[in-house]
Amino acid sequence: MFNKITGNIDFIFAIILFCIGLYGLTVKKNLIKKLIGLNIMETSVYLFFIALGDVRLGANIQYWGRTPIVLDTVKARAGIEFMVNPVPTGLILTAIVVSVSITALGLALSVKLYEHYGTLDTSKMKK
Amino acid sequence: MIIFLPVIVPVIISFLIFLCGEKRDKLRYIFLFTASIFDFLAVIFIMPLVLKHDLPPLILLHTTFFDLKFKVDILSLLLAVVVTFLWIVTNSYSIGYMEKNHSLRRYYTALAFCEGAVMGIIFAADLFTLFVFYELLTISVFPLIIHEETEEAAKAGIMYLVYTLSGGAMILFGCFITYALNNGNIEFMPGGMPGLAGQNKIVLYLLFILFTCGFGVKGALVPLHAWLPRAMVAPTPISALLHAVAVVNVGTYGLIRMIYNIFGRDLFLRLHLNTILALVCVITVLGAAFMAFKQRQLKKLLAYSTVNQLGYVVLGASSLNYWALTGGLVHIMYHSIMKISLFYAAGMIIRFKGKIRIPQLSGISKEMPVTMACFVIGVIGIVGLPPMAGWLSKWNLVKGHLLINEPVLASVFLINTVIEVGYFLPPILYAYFGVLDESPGSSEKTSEAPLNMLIPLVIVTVLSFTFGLFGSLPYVLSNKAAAELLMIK
Amino acid sequence: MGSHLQVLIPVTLILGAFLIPILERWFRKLLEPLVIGITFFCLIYSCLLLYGIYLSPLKVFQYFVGFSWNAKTLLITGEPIGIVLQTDLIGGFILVLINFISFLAAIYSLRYVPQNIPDGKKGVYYTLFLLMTAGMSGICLTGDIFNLYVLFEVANLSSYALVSIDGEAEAVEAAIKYLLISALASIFIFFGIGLLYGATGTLNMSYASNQIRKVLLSGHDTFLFSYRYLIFASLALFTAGFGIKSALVPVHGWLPDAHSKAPSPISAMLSGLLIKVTGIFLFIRFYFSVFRIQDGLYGDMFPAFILSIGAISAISGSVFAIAQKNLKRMLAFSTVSQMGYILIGIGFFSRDGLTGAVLHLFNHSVMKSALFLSAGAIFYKTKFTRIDELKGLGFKMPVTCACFTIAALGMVGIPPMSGFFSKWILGIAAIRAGFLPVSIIFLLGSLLNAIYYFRVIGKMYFFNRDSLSVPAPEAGMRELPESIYIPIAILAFAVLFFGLGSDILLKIIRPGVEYLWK
Repeated sequence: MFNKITGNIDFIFAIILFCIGLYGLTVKKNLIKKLIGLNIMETSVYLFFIALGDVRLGANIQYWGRTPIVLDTVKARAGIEFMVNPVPTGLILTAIVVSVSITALGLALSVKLYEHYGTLDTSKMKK
Repeated sequence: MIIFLPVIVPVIISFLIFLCGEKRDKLRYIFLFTASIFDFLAVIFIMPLVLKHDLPPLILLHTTFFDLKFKVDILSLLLAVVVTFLWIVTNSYSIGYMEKNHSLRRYYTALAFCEGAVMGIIFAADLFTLFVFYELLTISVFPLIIHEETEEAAKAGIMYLVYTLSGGAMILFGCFITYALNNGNIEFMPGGMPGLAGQNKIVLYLLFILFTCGFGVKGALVPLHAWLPRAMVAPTPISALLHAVAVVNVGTYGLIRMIYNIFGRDLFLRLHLNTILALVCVITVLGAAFMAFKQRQLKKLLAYSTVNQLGYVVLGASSLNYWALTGGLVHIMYHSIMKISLFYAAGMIIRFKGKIRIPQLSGISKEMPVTMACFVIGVIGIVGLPPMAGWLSKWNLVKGHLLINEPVLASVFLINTVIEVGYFLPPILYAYFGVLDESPGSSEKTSEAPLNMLIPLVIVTVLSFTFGLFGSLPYVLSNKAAAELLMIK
Repeated sequence: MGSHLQVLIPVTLILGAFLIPILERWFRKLLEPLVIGITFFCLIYSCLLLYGIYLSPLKVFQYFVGFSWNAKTLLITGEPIGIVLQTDLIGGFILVLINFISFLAAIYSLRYVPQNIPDGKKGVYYTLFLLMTAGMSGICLTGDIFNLYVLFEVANLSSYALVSIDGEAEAVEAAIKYLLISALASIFIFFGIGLLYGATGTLNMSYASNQIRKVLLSGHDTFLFSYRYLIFASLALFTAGFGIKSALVPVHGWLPDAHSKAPSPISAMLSGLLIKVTGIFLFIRFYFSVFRIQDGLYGDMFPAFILSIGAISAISGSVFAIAQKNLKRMLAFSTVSQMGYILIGIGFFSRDGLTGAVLHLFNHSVMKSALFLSAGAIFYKTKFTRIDELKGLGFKMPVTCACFTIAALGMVGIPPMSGFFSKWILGIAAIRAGFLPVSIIFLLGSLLNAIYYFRVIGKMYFFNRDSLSVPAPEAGMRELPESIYIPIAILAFAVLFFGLGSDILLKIIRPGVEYLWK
């Protein structure tokens, strides 16, 4: 039981981060805090993805840690049984770009709103 | 393809009329008459084919989910003859009545389109096709009802839409249930749909309620009739054609189809639905008759009289008896002809004398003798006194109900005759024995309406007279239609 | 079998998007012709592609980006690597729809944009417009889940920016609300993709679907953990994410603001396309191609859940719409209710239901675009946005109002408009799937639709023309520029034509649906 928790600590931490981010995004009134919450959520998913490619888990889990893009013959020649899966890392690089653009757009819009209303508090924006 | 032509030609012509624009009157009227006369000739042309059962159904479109299918049987033929003939007459009347009116393009476009929609309903071979044209009719009548563009017309129009669209939704749900019960076949069958016979009774009662309410809205059964008198704000040709002939007859047509081609006679009898429907009809007949008493406006009086008379038709249909059904079917035609003559007469009084309320009619017979004479003949027919056409249908209805041992229902017709005389007397008494009021516009001289309106009136009056005296085409057709519906050889 | 068209369409659009800032700097006159040309060619390409897929024996095109994949490599790796563009008939069909609507919206923008959007932002507008189209087209074409996510974000990001493009505070507020909720949805989806990748080890859709099937059938359960739970969790996350994107009722709050505050061609694109491609189409893609719920491995509760969500949206969306006073807001709420209908069609998980859903998706897209573009035309001419102000407008703007009426009758479901036929098919699908009572939803929804659409039509046409609130147009002045009313007229004609002509669409949709059951 305890082994299960320590073995999956990355995933558990990812889920805790996800919940923190969700809290920030949904409960906080300030637009910047909302955007921070959004970024925390994004980060938690990155963590989740990166952990999927981790080599430590490769031994006892069916698919994780497998590296289909590196052929088995290559691995055998190099004398490696398991290696970090590079696919999630590649995906996350793309996802970070997406996340940065969302954040940038969100911040730009927040600036516009601040110029107009003089506040970032969403509850005060509507008269 | 000959079946589809009466449906599509008016629709195409309505687009042509729309393209004519507001100004080109002559061209528009040529188009209008082309459509209606073409339809009448087409119906006459297919009549012998139908009577010989020589006309195959037409499948216009076939997909996995729906068919667009047309078929003509004798019942459809009966209605088609009435509708197409009266449409020609009404077109002529309309041109006179609507002269120098506004938005004529919209008016005539909708009028021509309605004919196509009505023919579509009448020739439909399955519920889907019927529903498509039924909703088309609902929508295309709407611009006609609100033609006056007054606040009152707008309210009447909205009320009309609420009633008919709800009715349409009920029919659609009925279609779905029928589809589910009859294994995906919603084609009208002689003797009813076989899949319905062994089904759960509650579902069948629900189906009955849905169809009765759905078609009953257009057929103006009593709790659902309220839109009809309100819709009398429309110009009189519309009141005449759509609210005495096309729309309401389509409603009763739907009810007849439901009884004989969806449920079928045996199932209908087994579930005692005929008793329920007869009860509704009795309420319709007597309720409308009493409500007619209260009316002070001539057109509203006629509207309630329509509701009243439609009760006859449905009562005849729900009896499941050959004679009563014949009476009901022939009454569709006779009533249409007589009621349209009453509406024409009322319309002339409204259009040329501006008299809407019944007490205003005082002495009008001196000004418009022909019109009033036709009105009186029409009333005699509606009331059902020999030798007018209405007498023949009423005789058959009474005979049929006596034959199936329903003296109470038979007496409804007799009681109603007395009430009808009661509510039709005031306008006639005012017209013939009232003193002409001394307002400056009126004079003792006769000043009839122009000929293009008077001739249609005289034609329909003469027809109602001839049909009463000689057992003629409509009677033969109704006999055959009744035999076909009841599957009597 | 594959076609270069699959990659050509998004690439053309993206290249066009990047050319536009250059053109704006030096050749301003070429801007609009370029956009219209690109969207037109993409429309032609997508029609050719759909035709090709329709004729191909397997009813699917596969295109391998950046690597060659043959039997030998498959033997070595055991699974496909790299990105596959896999387009089936339904994807191709939606692709044609996307390019059709965006072509019309591009024509419409010709005159609408200079009037309603600050001058300096024209280039940005068209760049984002093409990027959004590219993203949506890519979603329909791709067979790779992560690729799909990226294109999804491209489409979404452009749409956030487009909503706020006129820079007014209300629009910016709507945009940020839209951004925050929508970003939440995309994180859900992203997380769902992570779980799916964890459970199956692949991002290729067809391969993932095989793996999911294997996992569900194998019953590889331990005390605390099973891959099955991972799959269920990712299904739940996808449902939540796409549910937010398609604005189903508990999470519809962002839609009315975003869709009503955006410029009208964009409203038409958002309501007609984006919400469907990033919401409903991905529901279809994931439920039917990836998770394969139609095979019945997920129990009976899931379809019932989807059906009830759909039913709630269908009814309450209409109820909200009745209360609206602003025309575009009313149209936006009507979209919510129609999304509910489509979801009900999906929720049967039957061939007929899916056919009805895809057909209704198409019809609704055409009708709603026509409605939004007409609302935009009214705004263009008169600056009216409220429903009360439309009194008697039917006499002043006959073409626009006639098209609006046709499309509105279609939304209500009056035959022979196309909306009726898709509702009929959905009703029949309900019966064939054994959910007869569900068909009441369609009828009730139609009646509710009738209430608010007829109110608008009534205002337009049926009022005494002496009491018009519209000033009489000057003599010789045309109703609208051609570039504004021609797209509307084409859409209205499509509403009429695809009523009885829905047979043509069914010929494409049916084999596409059959393909998903293989």
